[in-house]
Amino acid sequence: MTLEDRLARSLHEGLARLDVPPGDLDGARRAGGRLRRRRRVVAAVVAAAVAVTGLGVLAWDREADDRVTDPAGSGSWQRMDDAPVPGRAMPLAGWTGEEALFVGGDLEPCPPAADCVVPSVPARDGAAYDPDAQEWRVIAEAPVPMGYWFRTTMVDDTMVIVGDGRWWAYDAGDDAWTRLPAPPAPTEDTGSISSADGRVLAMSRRGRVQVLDLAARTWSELPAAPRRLVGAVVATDDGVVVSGPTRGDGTGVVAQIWDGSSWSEVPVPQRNSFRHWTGERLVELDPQRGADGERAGGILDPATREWSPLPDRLTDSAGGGWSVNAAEGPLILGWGYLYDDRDGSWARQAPRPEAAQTEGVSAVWADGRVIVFGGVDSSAQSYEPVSQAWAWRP
Amino acid sequence: MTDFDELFAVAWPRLLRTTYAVTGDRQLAEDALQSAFAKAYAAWPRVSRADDPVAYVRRIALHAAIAQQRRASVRRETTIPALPEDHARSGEDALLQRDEVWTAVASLPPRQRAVVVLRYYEDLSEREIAETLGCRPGTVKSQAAAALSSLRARLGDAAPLTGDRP
Repeated sequence: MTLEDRLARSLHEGLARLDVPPGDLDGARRAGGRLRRRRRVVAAVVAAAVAVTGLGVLAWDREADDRVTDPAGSGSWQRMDDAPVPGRAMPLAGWTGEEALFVGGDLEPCPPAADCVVPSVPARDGAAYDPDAQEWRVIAEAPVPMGYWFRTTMVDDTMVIVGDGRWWAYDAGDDAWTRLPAPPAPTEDTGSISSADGRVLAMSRRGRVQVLDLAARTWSELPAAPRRLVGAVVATDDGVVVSGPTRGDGTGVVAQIWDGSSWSEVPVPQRNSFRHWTGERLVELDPQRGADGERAGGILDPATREWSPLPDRLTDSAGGGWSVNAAEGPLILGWGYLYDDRDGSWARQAPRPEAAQTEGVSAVWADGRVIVFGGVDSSAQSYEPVSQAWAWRP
Repeated sequence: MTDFDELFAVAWPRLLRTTYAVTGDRQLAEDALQSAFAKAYAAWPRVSRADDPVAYVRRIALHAAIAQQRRASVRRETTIPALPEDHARSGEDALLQRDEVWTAVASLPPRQRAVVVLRYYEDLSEREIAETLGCRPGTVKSQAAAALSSLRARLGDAAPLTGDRP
């Protein structure tokens, strides 16, 4: 009997012996009914509060006719309810597996060509969107303003954020914020962070990889790599990969791979660092080339150490005229295109709807769809941020 | 009986076993599943139109259970140095804990354990498991390979089942 057969048989036989009490059907109906009513009340109260304060939310009810019943979409972007929070540009975004989280962002983005002597005003609030229930909820306010330059990564339903030298965790299940311990060495606010298996990786200013065990709330540090890089760190199935330039002019990019016992180095003929792990390969989706012909992006398989260029299928510089960036597994949205690393194909992103904003949007993959939130109405003289939300299922 | 009632009656036993197998915690499994059905009821107009409402409930339940298990592990680590042995186990639970294969599966990291249960108990495809766990099919494949490698090292392919022992 093979191992697979043993597993199937043992699980089926063992679980069949388990005494299963009947579930509480009435309890589920009562709790579900309360949940449904609470969501309606929260949405109504928040909409009223936003309307009274006059903050820059596009009319909550005015666009009702544009809303759709299925945010899954049908090949084009679909307008969803506006979020029940003031408009903002570039909020932090993440997917819990159940809700799309949008936190902080810029409430008063600086218009182009303005001197903006007044610094931007980051938001502390945020909202979560459940695409299955098609409902927004306002989340607990963050302890500090969350600037668009902060960095974030998701660990299950917890959003981990670093900014201004402090680390925070928002637990979507508990709707609660906690401050995390600081790492042994300071990190750059603009440095990359990533996560895998409950651990968060961050680069210190000294170029060391620091590891946060989120459950234990403790930090550790990987052994120093042979070369000190100021670049990006990504967790992969084949180890931790740090990539970045080796020369002061930003060239000579290498990837250093920690396999759990030692570091190795792979030169990669591209300009940019790797920031996305598809589950099988590292992909940097930048199709540009420099004056010297050097590619900006590329693909690296950390298992084989094999680098390859991005498939060259772009026919022009922009696929959809809307700069939406989001990556989940092999699907990467950027440059107006959807790139699928499973077959190396490029497809044009659905065209931007006329009512959607072109600048300052944040996007996240949510169970096979892309959800976009926020942005700036650059056509208006006021350069107002908006609370618009859109969904597209390729 | 409404459609929701019917879904509840049909899906509860199997999904409870699945959630229990993934978490190893009976109370946690019941709470997560009860909460998932409440959410399904709250969104029933949409859930009922889905191709597979059971998949919706399964996904919500497992996501909540795994997240809750992670939070619970933090609280245990910070407040209770050690759990008493056989803590709140029923007779059936205790039987399971003595099963060699079950024990080996229970020792896997949470995500690997979930992949194994969904593959070999729920008979889901890689794509369905990825959708359930909110991850990539490539991740499911790698997690399954890692899980089988660990189980093979622990159990071997030729070792007999507990029930086959003389």
